[in-house]
Amino acid sequence: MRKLFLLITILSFSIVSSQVAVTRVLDVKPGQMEKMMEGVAKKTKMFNSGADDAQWYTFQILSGANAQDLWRVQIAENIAGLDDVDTEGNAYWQKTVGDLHESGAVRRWGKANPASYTPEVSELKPLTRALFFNFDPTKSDDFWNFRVRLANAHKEAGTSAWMETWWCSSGCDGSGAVVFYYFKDYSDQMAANEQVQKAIDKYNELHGNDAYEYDLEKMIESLMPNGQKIRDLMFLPELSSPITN
Amino acid sequence: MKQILILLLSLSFSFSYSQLSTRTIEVKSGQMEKFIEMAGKKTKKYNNEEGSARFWTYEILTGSDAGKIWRMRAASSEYMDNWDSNSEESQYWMKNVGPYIKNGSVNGNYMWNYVGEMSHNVDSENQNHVMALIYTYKASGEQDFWRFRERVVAARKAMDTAPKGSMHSVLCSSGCNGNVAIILFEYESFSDQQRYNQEMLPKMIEKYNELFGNDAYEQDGEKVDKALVENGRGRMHLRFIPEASSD
Repeated sequence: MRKLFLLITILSFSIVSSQVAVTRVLDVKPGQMEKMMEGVAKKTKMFNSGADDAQWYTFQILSGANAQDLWRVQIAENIAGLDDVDTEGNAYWQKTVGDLHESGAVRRWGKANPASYTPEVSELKPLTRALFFNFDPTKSDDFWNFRVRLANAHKEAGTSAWMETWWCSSGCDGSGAVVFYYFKDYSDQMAANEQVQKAIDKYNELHGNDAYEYDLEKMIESLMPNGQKIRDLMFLPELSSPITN
Repeated sequence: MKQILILLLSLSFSFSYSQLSTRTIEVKSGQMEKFIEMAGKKTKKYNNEEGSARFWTYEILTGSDAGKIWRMRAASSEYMDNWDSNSEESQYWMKNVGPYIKNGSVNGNYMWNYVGEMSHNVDSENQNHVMALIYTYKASGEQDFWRFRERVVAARKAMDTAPKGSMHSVLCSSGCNGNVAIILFEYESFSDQQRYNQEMLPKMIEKYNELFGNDAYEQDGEKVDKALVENGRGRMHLRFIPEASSD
């Protein structure tokens, strides 16, 4: 396990192979949402639709103080993918939608593959529940131990729960991570309870009776005060680059 | 207790069958009466039927949002999946209630799970004065926080004379920063609340200690204090508006 944390520490300084993401909240001015959405869709279609273009994905925030605002995410296969600056696309963005919103903090993330699990996905799962964590770096072992074991339990149990974990490599205060769960809709989200239970059973089978509860409590103890926030998001495909897989 | 705690500890990873959500609405100056009338018409027309979303409307009486409306919705996942901004219900709201809302002043959206095991429902009548205790607790303080709440429920249920108003516990499932729970206490009025505090609260504490040991109320309460984050305790008063709420 120690190796994983060492790896993550090293990754903080040299991300070379895993996916990386850049995120920011777009605080849309009152009454401008329709125009903003049209502009973002058009810009993305023009500048971010080709395989070699920067890949941008857009979500609408459904809960919290920023409910209704947009969350824009750029994903690249590796850190080098963030080097190219799309001068033309950026200028078009500023010209068409720049005045319609305020841009929030920019954060960079690296995908934590060992703490992620992607089942076979045959349909769009736009409803996203994002769990943002801020953990005590001296207890990061407990945090990551739970996340990695849980992802593995989902994999071993063959659940249909799609769960991705990303760790904040820049722009966050303290040690941050976010776990995404993807669903088709709220009914699918409700049905996920069954899948979660399957993973818990497998977790205990793999690591001993009550291991899930024990590790979960350790993970919870690893969090900073107020170190957890949850947001629901809706993926907007028409405002995003094409999904390739 | 153990099972309840595991459930609560796991709530971030599980999903409720009926979702509560709340938002704060700022009504245009001088238009509150009209807002209530029209929101009431909309709610009675669209939100009393089986399968429809249910709404409860409150006026916030204290705090920085005093004077605003707090509207709570309970909806099934099917309703939420099929929600359409062009539906007759949505259009009715936009056309008839929207004009009384200050521009761009429907703020935030917070989702909640109703924690039935930590609530005490009685047949409330005319209990339209509500005190909301808002807590933010450390993740590590979860057990201490909820143990106290569970024991309060047990003590209330064991009282010789039951409180006239219900006590509801909701836990934020999405939209809050940290672990936020709200405990809603119902009363008839401010003076009724004062009377409860003078007459019924000591009896509840006595019952609590009788059930869980001498000084248990004080000891558990201290653990709750330690379970909270800094400034993790808030309080606001609300006026429930039945005429703008589902029956």
